[in-house]
Amino acid sequence: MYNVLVCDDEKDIVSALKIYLTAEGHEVFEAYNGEEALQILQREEIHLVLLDIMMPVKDGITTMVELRKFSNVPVIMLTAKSEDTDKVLGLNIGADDYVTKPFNPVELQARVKSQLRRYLQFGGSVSISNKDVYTVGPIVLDDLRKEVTLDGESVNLTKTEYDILKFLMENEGKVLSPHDIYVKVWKDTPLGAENTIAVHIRHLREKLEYNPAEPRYLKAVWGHGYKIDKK
Amino acid sequence: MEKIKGSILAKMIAWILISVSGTVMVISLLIGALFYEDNVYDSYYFENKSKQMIEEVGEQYAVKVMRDRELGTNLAYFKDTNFRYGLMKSDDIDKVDFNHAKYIESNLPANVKKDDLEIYYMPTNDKTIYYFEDSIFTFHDRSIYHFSEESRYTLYIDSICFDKQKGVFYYHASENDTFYPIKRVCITFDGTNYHYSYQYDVEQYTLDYYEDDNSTSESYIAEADDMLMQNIGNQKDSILEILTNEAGMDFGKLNETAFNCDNWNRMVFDNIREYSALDESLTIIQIKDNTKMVTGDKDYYLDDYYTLHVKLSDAYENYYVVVLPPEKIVADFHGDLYERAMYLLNFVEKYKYSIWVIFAVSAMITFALFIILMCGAGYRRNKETKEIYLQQTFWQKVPLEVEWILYCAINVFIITLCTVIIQSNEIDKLIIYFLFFGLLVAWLTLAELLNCAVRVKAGKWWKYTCCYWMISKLKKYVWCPLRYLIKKIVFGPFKYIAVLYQNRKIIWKFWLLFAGYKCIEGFIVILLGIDFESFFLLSIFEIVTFGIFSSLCIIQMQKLQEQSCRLAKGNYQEPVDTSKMFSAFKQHGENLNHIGEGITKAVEEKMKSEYFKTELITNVSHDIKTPLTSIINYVDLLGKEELNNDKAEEYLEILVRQSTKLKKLIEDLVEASKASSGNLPVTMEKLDLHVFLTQTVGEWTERLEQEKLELVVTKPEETVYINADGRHLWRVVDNLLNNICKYAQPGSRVYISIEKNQRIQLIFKNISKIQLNIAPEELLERFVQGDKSRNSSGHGLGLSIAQSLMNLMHGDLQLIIDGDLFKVILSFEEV
Repeated sequence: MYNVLVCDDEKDIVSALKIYLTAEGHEVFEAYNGEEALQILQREEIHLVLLDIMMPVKDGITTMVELRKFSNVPVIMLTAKSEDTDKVLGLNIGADDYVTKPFNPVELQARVKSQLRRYLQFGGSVSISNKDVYTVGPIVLDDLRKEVTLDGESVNLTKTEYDILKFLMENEGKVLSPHDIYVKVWKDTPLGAENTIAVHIRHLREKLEYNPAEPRYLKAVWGHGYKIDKK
Repeated sequence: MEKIKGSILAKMIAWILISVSGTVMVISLLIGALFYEDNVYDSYYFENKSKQMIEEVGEQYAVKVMRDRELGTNLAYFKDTNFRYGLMKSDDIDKVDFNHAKYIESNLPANVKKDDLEIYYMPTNDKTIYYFEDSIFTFHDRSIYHFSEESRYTLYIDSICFDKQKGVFYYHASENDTFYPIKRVCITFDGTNYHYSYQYDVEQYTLDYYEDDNSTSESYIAEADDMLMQNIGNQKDSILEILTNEAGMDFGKLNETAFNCDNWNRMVFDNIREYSALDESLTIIQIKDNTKMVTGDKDYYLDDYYTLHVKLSDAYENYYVVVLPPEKIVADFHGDLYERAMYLLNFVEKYKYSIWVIFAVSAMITFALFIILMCGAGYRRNKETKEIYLQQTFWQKVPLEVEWILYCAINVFIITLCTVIIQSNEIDKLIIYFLFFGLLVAWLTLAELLNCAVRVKAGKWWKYTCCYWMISKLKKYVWCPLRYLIKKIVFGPFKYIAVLYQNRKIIWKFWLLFAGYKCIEGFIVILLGIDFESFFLLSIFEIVTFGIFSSLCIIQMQKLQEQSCRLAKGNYQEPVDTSKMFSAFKQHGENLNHIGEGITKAVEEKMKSEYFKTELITNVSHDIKTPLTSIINYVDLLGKEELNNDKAEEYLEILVRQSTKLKKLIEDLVEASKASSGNLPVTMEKLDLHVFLTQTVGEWTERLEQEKLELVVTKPEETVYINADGRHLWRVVDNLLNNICKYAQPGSRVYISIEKNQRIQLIFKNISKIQLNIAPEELLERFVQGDKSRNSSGHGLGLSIAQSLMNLMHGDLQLIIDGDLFKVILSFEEV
């Protein structure tokens, strides 16, 4: 369906990824270092790149920088370095997403799907400027249709979950305390019922995050509250 | 022996036994002493004593004869005895023929010889009471056999008379017109008191002693002191001499003299010349005129009421009891005193040596029992453990002196009581009283000794004494301060001298400098000439030079101090400029610079090593993670293949599980090493612990419900803020709750509470599923699990990571295991 470039110095990983992506119906191009990846990119029409960071000849960061000079193809970084600084660096130089090794094949598949959908259907990071539609990353909440989609696929939410998500998305980037959420959603004083908020947030995370244990968007700010955020 | 030590019963028996044996010992000793005193061990004792006893019994029976003479029962009574006697009345016993005498009663055989007979004289009148007791123990108390009540008749004194010829004063009783000489007379003359007493044999006064009014000392006239006797005898011996000394001496003056009632028979004539004559009733008698003057009978006295008490001299009837001592004592007569006496004597003879054996045996037993009691004193046996232990009761803790005083007081009381009772009781009961009080005193003494023994055994007995208390107080409040003072005063100066000696190099330099400076001053003075102006200039010079020198010193010291402050604050980069300093300060400054350099180097090295460490961890983890990714992926892919083989699928499942576990382990390992090496960025911020707890609990509610654990959260009313890194703290709590899910007993409760003590505490409590026989410290180590079998899904890093993270946040993680209760306390600084 789409052309995906997989670039990693470990051949076994590349072939494993090839199997997964082929199974999804994608055409897979293989590269074993940055240099090869760049050559393929210039030669072929590539819709998505999976790029390892630590590679011989040319490492992932350098490759990324050079790549961005001529292409805005979505790039998912594959990294064994789980430090926050590496992730931030990768995202800052133009990566669209990252997966830490050792990764879960299912999660990777989902991310690949998400990136492709956004890149091809919405044309990159173009957001719809509608007052009643809120977008955070792959999550879109259409208040008129009372519908929530993740990568364009509709997600089933309960009434409460929907209200909480809406409140969070209305205040994107702001930290909202359980008390505030409760007052807003239940229109009542909590009196020790804030626990339920955490449960609902958990459920939301399970429905909206690829890896609920490491949420990308719906984050807990411990000791303060919750926020929805792109990074 | 050990059994006796702890047994109260054994001790009680020992007490009783020692009482008995002690009594036996004392009694046998007393009897033995009595025997010895009575010369029982003489070879002729038996013979002599039997004679003596026969006599004594005869005497006693004679008393009985006298007592019962009017009842007429004697002959019948003595019929069955060895006693042969005759009772008669006679005025002249020497002329009586005992074979044909006129007996009042008699059971004497015919033809008795006078030499064989014992004759007892029994002068008797109405007042005589004979006391006879049918007891052998009265045998050597002779005084008891008869007594008569003393009786007197009274006469009223109407006057005191003076016999001019003999120089004797008399009481005159008008009732029987009899004169009684006044026994003692005191005459004051010339400031000297002359004390005379009446001598009945010579019927005259003789001087006893004289005394000066002024002096209290008395000059007794000792018979041996001839010189004095002569002096007094010559000058003032005769009472007449004194009384008739003055010409015209009028005895009528004596009528004024009151009878000195305080001294019944002592007349005091206080300087007789002072009295004036009013009456002539002091009768002057002539000795020849008075035949009734009593001089021979001395037994009379004057009482307070001028009454003369004169002893009654009654007429006696002269009774005699004639006793024939039995030659042989017939033992058929039961209760006969002779028989009993002989029996006693035989008994004494038989047992006179045995008594000492009894004494020795009882003494030995007493001593042995005493030793046993002393050894066992104070020990008690624990009923359950059967262990023997030393118990100090209240009485062993009372100060020893107090106890002794109490002991003595009780003994004194008992002895006093005893003497009082002895005085007012009959002799038979006394033995019992003696026994009773003797035992009491003995028991008390024994108790006291045992008490002391326990004190000694318990050790440090001196602690429970007044002396010790006083000494210790003295030591504390007197000696210690005194010693401190002495130390300070006497040894203090030596210390300073020692300090000076230790620093002699610098002191030597200083004094050299000072001397040089003074020399320069002296030189200047010599140059300028010795006058007031030069000294004024000199003092200005001194002030200026000293000012400059001391300011320089102060500035340099300030610089050094600033440098040390910099070092203390962690600034090791800037060295202090030492080029313009004095030598001592310069050296100090350079030392400080060296320290700075050394620390800088050390810090750099440390940072380098830390950096390498982090790098190493990151790289190694990368190198492990890459192959692991392949493994996980291919295992997953393998799972998607059609294997058609049950065993292969089983193995695949194991691969999936173990690879997942490996993945988690590596992630945790990296985190653990980062956390413990402090290579994690920590953003401390103010957190609302309530909100935090709400969030975490919400995250875990469903998981806990799955594990069938009931969660109980308690938190205080007011909001609690702490300083911590939210994400790290979440990780800590996440690990703890994960552990709880894994290891808590399903169906039990899990308690989470916030407590506010000195620090804020977040406490987790749960009941463990498995037995936790492991120390909390061990559990906090890496790769250690409570479950020794390592069958559970954990890998033993959770608690270690939690602790490291808590330390990074300046908090504290404390683990408490109490049986199956597993308790974790997280402590934070309060904001």
